[in-house]
Amino acid sequence: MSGFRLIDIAKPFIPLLPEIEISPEAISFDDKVVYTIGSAFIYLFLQLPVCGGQGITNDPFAYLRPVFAAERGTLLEFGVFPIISSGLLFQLLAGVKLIKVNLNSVNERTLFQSAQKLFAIFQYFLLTNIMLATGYFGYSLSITQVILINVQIVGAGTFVTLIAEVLDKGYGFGSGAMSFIAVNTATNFIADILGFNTVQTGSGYQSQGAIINLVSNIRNKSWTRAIWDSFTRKNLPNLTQAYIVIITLLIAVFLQNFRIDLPIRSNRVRGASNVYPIRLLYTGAMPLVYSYVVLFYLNLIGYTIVNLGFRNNPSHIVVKILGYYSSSPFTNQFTVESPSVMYFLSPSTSLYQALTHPLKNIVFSAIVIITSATFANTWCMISGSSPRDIAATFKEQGISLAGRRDISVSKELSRVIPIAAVSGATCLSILTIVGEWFGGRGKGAAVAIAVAIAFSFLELIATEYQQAGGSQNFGQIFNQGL
Amino acid sequence: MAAEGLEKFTEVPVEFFNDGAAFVKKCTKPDQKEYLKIIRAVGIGFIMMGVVGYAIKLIHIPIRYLIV
Repeated sequence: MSGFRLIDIAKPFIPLLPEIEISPEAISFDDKVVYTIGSAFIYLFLQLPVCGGQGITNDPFAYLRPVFAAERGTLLEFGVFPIISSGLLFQLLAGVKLIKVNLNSVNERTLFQSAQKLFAIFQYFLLTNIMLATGYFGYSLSITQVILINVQIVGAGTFVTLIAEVLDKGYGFGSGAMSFIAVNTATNFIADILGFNTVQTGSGYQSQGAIINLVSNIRNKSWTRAIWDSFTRKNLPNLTQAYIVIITLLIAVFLQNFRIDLPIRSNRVRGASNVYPIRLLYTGAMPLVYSYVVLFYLNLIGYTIVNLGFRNNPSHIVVKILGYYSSSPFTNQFTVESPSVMYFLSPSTSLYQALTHPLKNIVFSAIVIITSATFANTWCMISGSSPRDIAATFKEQGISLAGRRDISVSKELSRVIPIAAVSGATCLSILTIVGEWFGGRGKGAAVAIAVAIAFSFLELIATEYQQAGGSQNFGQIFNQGL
Repeated sequence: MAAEGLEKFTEVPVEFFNDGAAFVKKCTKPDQKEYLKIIRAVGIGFIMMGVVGYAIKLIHIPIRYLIV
C-alpha cells in the first residue's frame, strides 16, 4: 500500500510541473538529429559560472564529476546526477515492485514520470542547500546570495530536466541525460588534451590541455622536469590522464564488439535463417553509471554528516570514524586522507598513492565491481530487454532459436543473457578501476560510459536510418561516415 | 558450520566467474579490419562533437570575466 502513496505525492504538483507532450506525428530522422545535438549543445552552453558566491573551494566530489557531466562552479554544479539517480531509483523500485505502478495505464504512467521529475528537481534543491550550508559557496553568505544561488542552480536543473525529457519522449535518440554525458565527455576529451585556454593556478597561468602544457613546459623548463611535470600535475588534466582516457576508449570500443550470435530461424518462411547477437555489454553503461550513483550517494551522506552534523571537527569520534575532510590548496579538492569510512569510498589520486595504499584500492575496486555486477543481474531482468520480453518479440515475429522449440526459447535466453550482462558489467568496471589506479580521477570512467552510450546511439541511429531509407540529409552524412 | 556457510558464500561468484569466462571465450571478437573501421567512426564522432563543444566552452571565457 505504501507504494501507492509514494507516487501519489506527485499528484498536487502535476498542474505546476510542465510536461512534454509526445509528438502526435512521427518525427523525421533529420529532426531527431537536430533535436539531440541541439539539446546537447544547449546543455554545454548552460555551464555558465554561478554568480553570487564567494569563490568556490573545497570540492568533495571531484572524481565523480566527469561521470555526471558536472562542471564545478557552474550552473550545472551537479550535472545530470539528480536526473539519472532519480530515474534509476524509480525504475529499480518499480522493477522490484516496491512502487506499485501499472505502466500500461496512461494516468499512472504520467503520475510515475511526474514523481520521477519532481524527485530530480527536489534533489537539485537538496544538493544546492547542503553545499550552501557546508560553506562550499563561501561561509558568510547573505540571505539574498543564498536565494540567488538557489534560483540559479535549481532553475538550471529544472531546465535540464525538461530538455532531457524532450529527448526521452521520442524527439531525439535514446536517453536525454545519457546524451548530455556523452557530449560533455567528448568535449572534455578535446579540452583536456588539446585545450589551449589558460587557467590561473598557484604557479601562474597554465594551459588546460595536457599536450599544450607539455609543449610549454619543454620550452620553459629542463627536459626531465618538463616531462615529469606534464605527467603529474594535479590541479589540471595531465598526460597520464590523457593516456588513460585514450587507452580506455580503445579497449571500451573493443569490448563493445564482443558478442555471441545465436542462430535463429523463421517459423513462417522455410529455410530462412539468421543470427540474433547477444552482446557482452548487454546492459551497456547502466551498471557502471549505477555504481557511480551509489558512490555519489555514499560520499554525499558522509560529507553531509561530517560537515553539517559535526562541523568537520577532527577530535570528534564520529568524524574520526567517518573521515576528516582536509583541503589541499593546490587542487581545491576536499578529500579524506586518513583511514576511515569515507577514505575507502574514493579512488587513489595517482599510481604512487595506489601502490602505497593498497587496501584503499582493493576496497574501492570491490565496491565498484560488486555494485556493477549485482545491478547488471537485476537490470537485465527488469529493463525492457529481459529474456521474457525478447522471447515474446520472437514469438510475435514468428522466429525461434534454431534447434529449439518455442517454449524453451525463453529458458535458453535466460541462461545466456544474465551471464552476458554480469560478465560485461564486470569487464567494464575492471577497465574503469584500472584507469582509476593510474590516477584517472573519474575521466576513464566517463569515457567508458560515453563509449557505451555512443554505441547504443549508433545502434538506434542505424535502425532509424534503415527505416528512413537514407533519403534525408543527415542520413547521407552518416552513410559517408560509416 | 562456518566453513559450509563460507563455501556457499563463495560458490555463487565462483560459478559466475567460470560461466563468464566461458562466455567471453565463446564470444566473436572483432577482427582487425572491422575494429579499425569502428574506431574510425567512433573517433570521428567523438572528435567532431568535442571540437564543437570546446568551441562553445571557449565562448564562456569572456562571459566568465564579465560576471565574476
